[in-house]
Amino acid sequence: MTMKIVSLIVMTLFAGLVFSSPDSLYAASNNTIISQSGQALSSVFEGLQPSVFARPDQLWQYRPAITNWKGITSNRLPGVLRVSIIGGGSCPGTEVCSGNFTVIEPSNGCLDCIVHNFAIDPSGDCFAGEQNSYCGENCCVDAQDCFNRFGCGR
Amino acid sequence: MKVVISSFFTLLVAAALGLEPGLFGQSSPASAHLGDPYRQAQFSALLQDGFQRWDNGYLITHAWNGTLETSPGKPAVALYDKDGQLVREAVVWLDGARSVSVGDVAFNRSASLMVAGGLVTNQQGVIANFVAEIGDDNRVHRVIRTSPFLPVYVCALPDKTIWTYGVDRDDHLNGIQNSLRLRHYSFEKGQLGAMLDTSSLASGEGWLLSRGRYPGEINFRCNSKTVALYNAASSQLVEVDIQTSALKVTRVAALPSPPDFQITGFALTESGALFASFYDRSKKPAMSGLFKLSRDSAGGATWVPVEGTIGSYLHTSSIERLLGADGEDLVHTRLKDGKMFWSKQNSQ
Repeated sequence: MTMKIVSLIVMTLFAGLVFSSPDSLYAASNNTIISQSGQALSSVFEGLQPSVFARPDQLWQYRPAITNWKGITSNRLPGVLRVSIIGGGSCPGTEVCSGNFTVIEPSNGCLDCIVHNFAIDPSGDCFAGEQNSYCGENCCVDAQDCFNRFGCGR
Repeated sequence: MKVVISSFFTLLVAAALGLEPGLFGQSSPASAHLGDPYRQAQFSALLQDGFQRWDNGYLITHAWNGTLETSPGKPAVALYDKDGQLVREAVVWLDGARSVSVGDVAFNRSASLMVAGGLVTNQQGVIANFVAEIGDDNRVHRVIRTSPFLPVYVCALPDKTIWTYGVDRDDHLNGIQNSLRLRHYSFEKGQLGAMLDTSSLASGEGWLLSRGRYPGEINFRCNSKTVALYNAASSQLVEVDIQTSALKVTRVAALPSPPDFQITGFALTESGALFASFYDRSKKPAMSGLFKLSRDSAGGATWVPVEGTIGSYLHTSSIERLLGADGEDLVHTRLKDGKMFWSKQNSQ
């Protein structure tokens, strides 16, 4: 009887885990993983040390806030920066070009490199977009001019 | 100098017409002609955002909605055939990850889909980089952990090995500038080879940003014989002979700087010719066109216009952007209407 109850609880918990997270159904499995030297690994993380750069809850301490930032949405604000591990250096790589009629403006937001804000000027160039790049010791966000082929019709 | 840059396309057109000396002081008449399109198809993916390129018979798209990050439950990479039909959608995720990013995708002639990216663990915050093969079930099948090497761009060979361009990173994730930038991997043996220390090259500072100042400033392609890496920031073309692993660096005449001037597309044909589409808004109207890399006898190279392709962007130019090569033919758009065209190029 006790065994049946325990089994029921375990099955219920298992089912709850699966159905509460539909995404988990799609997670990769049964893949083979090797290191650069060709050695089999049980996990892609095996033997690697944790990095503070993978902890946004701690990383904010390393990134001073930039004021007077006009055009950056909340998820790009320094301090709550989402960590991207694509790109060079200790900072995320350049983001994808977005926006139209963008005008780049000067900013004084960073100590050790030149950064810019951006604003929207509907009288400007429709193809003028903005992409964020990162610079300096603290990965200040810098709005850079870019060519955005989207959003201006044919 | 400023005048020279702002008159870039004017000079090119003039050069094409044989009216003036060619770009950057060289006499460089048009070296290729682009024929009228012999095929076209509608691609819904071309109307969406993200990175798109033609690779070994398919249009590859990824990085939708302005992000490289993927989801465990949604496709992150899509393949379209020559008729514009969606034929594959791949989910790129690994067990234990909190976030996964896909930086580049390649497709080889053996129908293998390869991706390069990075991921972070859920619990401890461990970062790892990888290249992976997507299986027939459109899920991650085989993985090579490349850490500390960050693979930026990938190129897939018919033998299912993979070439990558990237950089090693230290404990603080800083790029190690004298690390070897090109790696060759096998899913059975791991790293097969490593080469190219860019810190020893002239214009080494042009390699500091692993993706350049904008997507498209650094391009990485391969065919059955050659791996080609073109960096417009450093004005260098790096080529590796796949058979012998011999490496060659060619100095290419400098292009004007972004953001007024940008490379919008790139292609390596099967015979080794290199083409790029350019966009120049330094003068009004903005111009676009197709260019071919012309090599000179002194070991250098220059981009020269392809006859009949230069004109005002989305108006008189026949090139909106170049998406890639299909054998010797070029795949490109003319407008932003979702139509893709195939044209034959004839070098003169």
